[in-house]
Amino acid sequence: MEGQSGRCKIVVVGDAECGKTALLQVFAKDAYPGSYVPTVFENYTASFEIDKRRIELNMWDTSGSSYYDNVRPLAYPDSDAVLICFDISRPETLDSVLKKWQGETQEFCPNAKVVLVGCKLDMRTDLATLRELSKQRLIPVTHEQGTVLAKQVGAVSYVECSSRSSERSVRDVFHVATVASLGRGHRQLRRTDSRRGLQRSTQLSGRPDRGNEGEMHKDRAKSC
Amino acid sequence: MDTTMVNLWTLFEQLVRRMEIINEGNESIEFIQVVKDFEDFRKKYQRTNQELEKFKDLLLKAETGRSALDVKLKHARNQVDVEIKRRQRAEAECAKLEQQIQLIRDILMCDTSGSIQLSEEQKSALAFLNRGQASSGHAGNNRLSTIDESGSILSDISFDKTDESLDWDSSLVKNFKMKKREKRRSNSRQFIDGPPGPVKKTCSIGSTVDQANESIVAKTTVTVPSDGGPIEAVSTIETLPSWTRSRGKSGPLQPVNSDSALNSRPLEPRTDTDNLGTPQNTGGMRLHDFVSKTVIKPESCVPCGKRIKFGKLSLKCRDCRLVSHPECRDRCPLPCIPPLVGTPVKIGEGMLADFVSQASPMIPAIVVSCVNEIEQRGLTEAGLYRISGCDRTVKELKEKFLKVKTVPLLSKVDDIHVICSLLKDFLRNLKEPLLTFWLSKAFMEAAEITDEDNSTAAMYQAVSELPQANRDTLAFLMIHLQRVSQSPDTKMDIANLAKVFGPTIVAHTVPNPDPVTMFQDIKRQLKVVERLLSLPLEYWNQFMMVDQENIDSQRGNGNSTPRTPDVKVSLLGPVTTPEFQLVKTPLSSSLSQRLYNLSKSTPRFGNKSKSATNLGQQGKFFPAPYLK
Repeated sequence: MEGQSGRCKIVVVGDAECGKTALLQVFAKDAYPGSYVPTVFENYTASFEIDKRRIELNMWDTSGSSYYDNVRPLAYPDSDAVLICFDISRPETLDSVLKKWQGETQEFCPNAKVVLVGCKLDMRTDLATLRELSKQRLIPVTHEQGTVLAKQVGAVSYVECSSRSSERSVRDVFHVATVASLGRGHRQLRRTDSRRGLQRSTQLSGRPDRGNEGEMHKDRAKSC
Repeated sequence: MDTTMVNLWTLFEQLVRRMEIINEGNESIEFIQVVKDFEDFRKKYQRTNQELEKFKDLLLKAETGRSALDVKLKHARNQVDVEIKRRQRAEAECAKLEQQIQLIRDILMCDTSGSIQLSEEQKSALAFLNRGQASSGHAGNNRLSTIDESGSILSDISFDKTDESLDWDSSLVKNFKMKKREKRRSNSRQFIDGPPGPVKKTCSIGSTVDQANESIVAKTTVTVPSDGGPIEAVSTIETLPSWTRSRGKSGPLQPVNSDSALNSRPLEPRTDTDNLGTPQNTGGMRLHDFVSKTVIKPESCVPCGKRIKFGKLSLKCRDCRLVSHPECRDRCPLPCIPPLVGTPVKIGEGMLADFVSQASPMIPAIVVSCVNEIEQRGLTEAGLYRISGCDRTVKELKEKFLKVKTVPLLSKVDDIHVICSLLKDFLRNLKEPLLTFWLSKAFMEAAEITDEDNSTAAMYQAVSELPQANRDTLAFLMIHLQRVSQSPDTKMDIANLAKVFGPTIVAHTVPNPDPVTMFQDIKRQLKVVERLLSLPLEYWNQFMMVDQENIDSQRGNGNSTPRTPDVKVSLLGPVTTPEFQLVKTPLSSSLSQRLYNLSKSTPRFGNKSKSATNLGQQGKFFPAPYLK
C-alpha cells in the first residue's frame, strides 16, 4: 500500500455533522455544500500532486451516526489513511474520537495512517458559538487539546481546517494525509507549514512504530 | 271535585236565602219558582254524585293498574340484578382468558424473537393471537347484548315513573322531583359511582326510592347502567332533554327509543356541564383525566417544570399520573399514556409490546414524552435527530425512565439532542425493530414498487399487518416526524429524516446480512421510511383517534358519554383476522382504497379488545369515585 501505485484510499470518519462531507466536497468539488443532507455513504475522487507526482485520491465519505455502525466497516478495507474528524465548536465530538473512532479504526484498519482533523475552525472565534458554549461552561476545542489527543490516539498528525472559509486549509488536510499514507518524510510538510498563515499543523515527532503502538493501545484501553 | 262541591253549596245557600224571603213575603209565584229551583238543584246534585262514583271507580282501576306495574317493575329489577351478576361472572372469565392469551403471547414472542429464521412460525403465532383477541371481542359481544336487554328494562322503569307522576299531577311535587333529580345527577357527575361492589348499593337506592317517590325511580335508571360498566354507562345516562322528552310522551318507551334519544342529543348538555375533559382541541386523542388535589409533598409540574408549592392545588391525571398546575393543563403532553404495570424492563431487552400499556393508543410512554418535549422546544433546532446527544446523559435518562414509574422531567434536560438520542436509542435497541422482522421485507418491497399508487397500497397493507403497539407507535412517530420535516429550521426534510430513522426502525431482510446485502438494505430502509413519511397525515392520524367515549367509560366516567351505535359495533372488534376482513370488505373500488379502509377499521379492533380486558377487572365495573 505504500504508494508506488499513485493511488491512495482515504476514509473520513467522525461524529455526525462535524463537517466530513463539507471537507470532502470542498476538496473534490471546490464547492461548499449548500444543502443540509446527512451522508449515508459517498465516494469522491480527486487527484493531487506531490513532488510532481500525480496521486489519485479515492475518498470515502461515511455516516457519523451510530445507527450506521454496521455499514461503515464496509468502507475501511484497504484504506491507506483515515481522517478522524471532530467539530471544534462541539467539545463532545472530541470525546467520541477517543471513545469511538479510535477504537473503530484500530479494529478495522490497523495499518492505515490516522490523521486527526479538527473541522469548523472558523467557529472557534464565532461569537454565537462561544456564547452558546459558555452557557454550559465550555469553550471550543483548543489546538493544544487536539494535539494531545492526536498523540493519544496514535495519529500521525493533527490538522485544523475550515471548509467554509479556507479552501487552503482543506487542501492541507489532504496533503498531510496523502503524504502520511505514502510514507513520505516530514520535510515537505514542514514546508507547507511555514507557508500557512491561518492554519497550523502539528507534526508529531515521529510515528510510533508498531510495537510501541500496541503498548500504547493497551494503556489507553485501561484509561478508558 | 272541590269546586263542584262549592258550587252546589252556594246554590243551596241561595235557595235557603230565597226561602227566607218567601217566608217573609208570602208570594205564591215566587214560591213555585223556588220549588222548581229546588228540583233543579236536586237533579244537579244527583248527577254530581254519579260522576263522583264514576271517578272513584276509575281511581280504583288505576290503583290496581299501578300495583300490577309495580310488580312488573320489581320483576324487572330482579332480572337486571341477575343479568348484572351473570355479566360479572362472564367478565371475570373473560379477564382470565385474556390473561392466558397474554401469557401465551408473551411466551411466543420471547421464544421466536430470538431466532429470526422462525419468521414463518412467528407469523402463524401472531395469527393465532389475533384470532384469540377477536374471540375475546366476541365474548364482549354477548355481554353487550345482555346489557341491551337491561337497557330496555330500564326504560320500562322510567315509563312506570312517568305514569305515576301523571297520576299525581300537582306541580309542587313535580318541582320537587326535578330538583331532586338534578341534584342526583350533579352528584353522580362529580363522584361518579361507588367503588367496586356497588351493585347492591344502587339496588338499595332503587328500593328506597320505590317507597318514597316515583321520581327517584328514574334515578335508578341512571345508576344501574353506569355500574354496569363502561358500555352501559352511556346508554343509561339520560341527558336532560331526553328525559323531558320521555316524560312528555308519557307512554311506554321502547328500548330503542331511549337509546336513540340519547344518541340524538349527543353533546350539548355535556359541553356546558362537563368540566373534566381537557379543553385542548385534540382531535380525538386520548386525553388526560385530571383530578385536582392539594399538594402536600411538593411536586414538579410536567409542562412548565416548576414546582407546585405546598398547599396549592394541582391537577393529577388518574391514568398516567402526570402532575401539572391548573394553569398548565392546556400544555400537558398528549396523548395520555398510562404507565406500565408490572416489572420494568431494561431498554434493549424487550419487545415493543413490553413497553406499552394495555390501553390504546399503544405507544410507549417514553416515546410520547420524548416527542412531546421535542415538539415543544426542538422544532427550531437545526439538525434535530441528526446530531447525537451526550452519551452519558442519554444512558442516565434511559434508566431513569423505566425505573421510575412517573414521567421524568424532560423539560429539565437542556440539550434537546439528548432527548432525540434517547428516543432513537429506545427504538434502535428494541429486540425487534419497530417494523418487525417478518414485515421488513414486505415494507421494502412495497417501497420499491415504482408505481406510486401501488406502492402506497402495498404500504398500507404492510402497516395494517403490524401488531397494534407497533402500528400505533409508528403512526405517532410519523406524525411527529412529518411535523419535524415541515419545520424549515430543523433542516431535516423527509430524506434526511429517513437517513436517521431508516436503520433505526427497519430491520434487515435476513438475519445476518453479508456486507453487500447490508449495503443494499440500507438504501431500501431509507426508501421505506421516506415512503412512510410521505403517507398522508390523515392516514396516520386515524390511528391516534381513540373515541374519547370509550376511554371515559373505561374510566367509569359514564355520565358524559353518549354512545353512538357505530362505536358499539367496533367495540366488538372484527371477529376475523385482518386478512380475512380484507377479503370480505365490500367496497373494492381500488386496492389502495380498500386497504386504506381496512386499516382504518383495524385500529379500533385492538383498541376495543383492550376495553374488553379492562372490563374484566372488577374495578372498572364500578368506577372508583373521584377524590375531591
